[in-house]
Amino acid sequence: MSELEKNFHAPMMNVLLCVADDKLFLGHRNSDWTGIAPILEADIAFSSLAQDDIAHSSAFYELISSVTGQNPDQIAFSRQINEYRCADIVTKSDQFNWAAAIARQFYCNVYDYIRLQSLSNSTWTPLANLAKRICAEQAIHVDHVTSWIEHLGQGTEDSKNRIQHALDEYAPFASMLNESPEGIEKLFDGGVLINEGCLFTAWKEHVIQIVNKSGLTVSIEPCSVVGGRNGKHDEDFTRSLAELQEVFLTDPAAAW
Amino acid sequence: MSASANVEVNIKDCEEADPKKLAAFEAHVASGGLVEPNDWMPEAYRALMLRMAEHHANSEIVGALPEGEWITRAPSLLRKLALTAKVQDEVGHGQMLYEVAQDLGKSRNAMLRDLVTGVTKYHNCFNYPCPTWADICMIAWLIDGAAILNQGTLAHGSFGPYIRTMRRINMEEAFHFKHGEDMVLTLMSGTDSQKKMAQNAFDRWWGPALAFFGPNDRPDERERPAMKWRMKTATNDELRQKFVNRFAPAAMATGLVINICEKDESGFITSATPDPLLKLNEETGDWSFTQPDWDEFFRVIRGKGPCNKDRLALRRFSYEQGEWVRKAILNDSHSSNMN
Amino acid sequence: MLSEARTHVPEITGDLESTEVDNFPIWEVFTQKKESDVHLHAGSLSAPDASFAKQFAREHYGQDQECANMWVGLRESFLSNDGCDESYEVFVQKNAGSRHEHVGCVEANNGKDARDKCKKQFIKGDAFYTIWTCPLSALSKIESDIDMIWREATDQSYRLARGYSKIVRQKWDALRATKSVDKYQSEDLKETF
Repeated sequence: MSELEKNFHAPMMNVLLCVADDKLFLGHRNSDWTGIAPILEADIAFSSLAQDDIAHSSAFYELISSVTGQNPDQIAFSRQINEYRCADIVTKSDQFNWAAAIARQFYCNVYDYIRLQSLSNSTWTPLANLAKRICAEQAIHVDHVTSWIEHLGQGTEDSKNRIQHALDEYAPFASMLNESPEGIEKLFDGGVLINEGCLFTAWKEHVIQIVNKSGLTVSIEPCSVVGGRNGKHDEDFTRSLAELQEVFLTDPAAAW
Repeated sequence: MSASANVEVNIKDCEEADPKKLAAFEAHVASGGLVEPNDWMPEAYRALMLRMAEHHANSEIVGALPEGEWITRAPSLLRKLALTAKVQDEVGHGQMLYEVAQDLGKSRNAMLRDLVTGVTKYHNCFNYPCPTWADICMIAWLIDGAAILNQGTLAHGSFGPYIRTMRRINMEEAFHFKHGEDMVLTLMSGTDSQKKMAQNAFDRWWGPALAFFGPNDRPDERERPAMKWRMKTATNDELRQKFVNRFAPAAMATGLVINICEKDESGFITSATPDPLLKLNEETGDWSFTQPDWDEFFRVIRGKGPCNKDRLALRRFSYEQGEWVRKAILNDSHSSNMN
Repeated sequence: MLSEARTHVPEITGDLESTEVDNFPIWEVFTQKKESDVHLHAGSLSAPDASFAKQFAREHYGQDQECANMWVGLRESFLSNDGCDESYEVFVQKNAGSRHEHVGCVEANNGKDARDKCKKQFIKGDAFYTIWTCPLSALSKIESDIDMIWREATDQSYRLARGYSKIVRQKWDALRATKSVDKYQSEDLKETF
């Protein structure tokens, strides 16, 4: 169907915000590495992926805009903290540690891929089409970060320890990617989104497979707390949001 | 994004070239001939071209730092994307120029280590602060605009790998410049507050843009190796005049005022008065203008600029923090097949 | 405020503590804009192995413009006179200053043989500057219809000059129109007073 029924608007916009905000803030955080990454060529590649994430988020904000009429920049930039729907792993500080950036990237990219595949089966055509298109680019991200996990896991004793430590440290935050967006049950019941079974399981399996192949381990528990998906954010997110909004908020009505 | 045709090499320190070969080489280059890495070249040519490419590469990756400060604060989705892409391009330009320099005999590691320990230099304009979003807009418009003018002439030089790189770089500079123009026009069509921010940033960057092309020409500029060997095909003053002819009327058309400014040690403007010399000579088509503050320029180049220490600190930190990564992936490649 | 990464930067002077690793080997990258175009030399890069070389090549040389296809190989492979009996892609630089261009594929015993065959089959009597040859077994090929290079899902015009031509023209026109109106109004006021 090309038109979304009115009673599905609110829960669907919420789901879309989860996708868009995850990508916006991951891209935002990763774009900060541009110019200061460990290897010039890797810097360029990593920046490409950050731009992809921001471009993807932009496409999702456009989709939201097509329903709500609100300008995509306004959607992205002008909400209050508790109105953002990203999981806080996307803005978890990496403290200039490349292993942390890769671990964060890894958990998020694989999750985005699995989630986009699922959204490709939506009966709301504009979403299915968008998700399919973005999924094709998302595959590049998964390949990219898988390659890094493998190289670091099999590199030196030092790199193995560093990436293992980062994976362990970020695992609890990664779990929260799976916090359920409010109202999603309504979309499943209404047949707008297909509930193919647990995204969490699919994601966890994919993550474990890559990690084990690289001689590393990971331990992920299902999400058990209320967090970013429901607007409850931590300090790292608050700081990232302040950066995002700093210039915009000097005049939200102005053109930049 | 920036150019440097103003490095010097002590020609006398280079091995004396076979006079016959040297004469033939100079005739070849003077008549527009090009030089590729495997061709014979005098040691002095190789050394000067290397220093030029190295300085240019250093400038690109240091230039990525001040603009990088605003990536996370860009105020719209488009600006986030475009600024990230611009800074990414600069890293790419640095990468390509380091490859050119490496082919002339100095390894990338050696060049990076010399940069971060202050042994080699980079373009002066990156030692100035970027306190507002409008500074980013002005850098993209003025400095990338200057770079295009400069690099356009460098693309007619004599060394094959360098001129091929200039052509590639200029394609991207066109995007940087156009985007910069878009940002400046947006501010100057915006609120009073935006216009004021734009004017203040313009005041900070007009001088550095004029100084971008390097000090005033020496009387024997065209006989010096850089021009004699066609590494550089236009003089600093020629390019500076071209820049003013293009940008002075454009700036004024947006409503900006071209001021002569005094700055404090932190690079902040303490006074700004309209340039009294700014006038179009209808006959020649050239604008007369006040030269940039050359005392300040030389002070900054010698390390006493507002941001010299910060730029080096971040470049060095990035380099040292990344060492374990480079070790890891090289180790991994040695222990598995290269292919 | 600056991002965290750029704020807490220690200022360290003196000699570097690190002892650096070897420089990575150099790879050459060829790109094909459209299926109907020839592969042209895009540039070189440094990478520790083929998998990174491909990744770096795609994100650096594959993002300037549309890219249908990309080839990546060690510089050594393009320059070597050695090798074994196999197919070699051959590339010619016509003059000093030009880029190497793919001209075809030859069966040869080694690099030198491939170079000779290239001269016979593709260059014939014409002038040329240098020839590169690369054994097929040493060349990684990235086909964009299997492995996307240039991003097709999202609008890439934000990173191209042509993405701004129209909007910049419109903004100049609007600015000049406003100034003319302002000037006109100020002339008007002059007359009144």
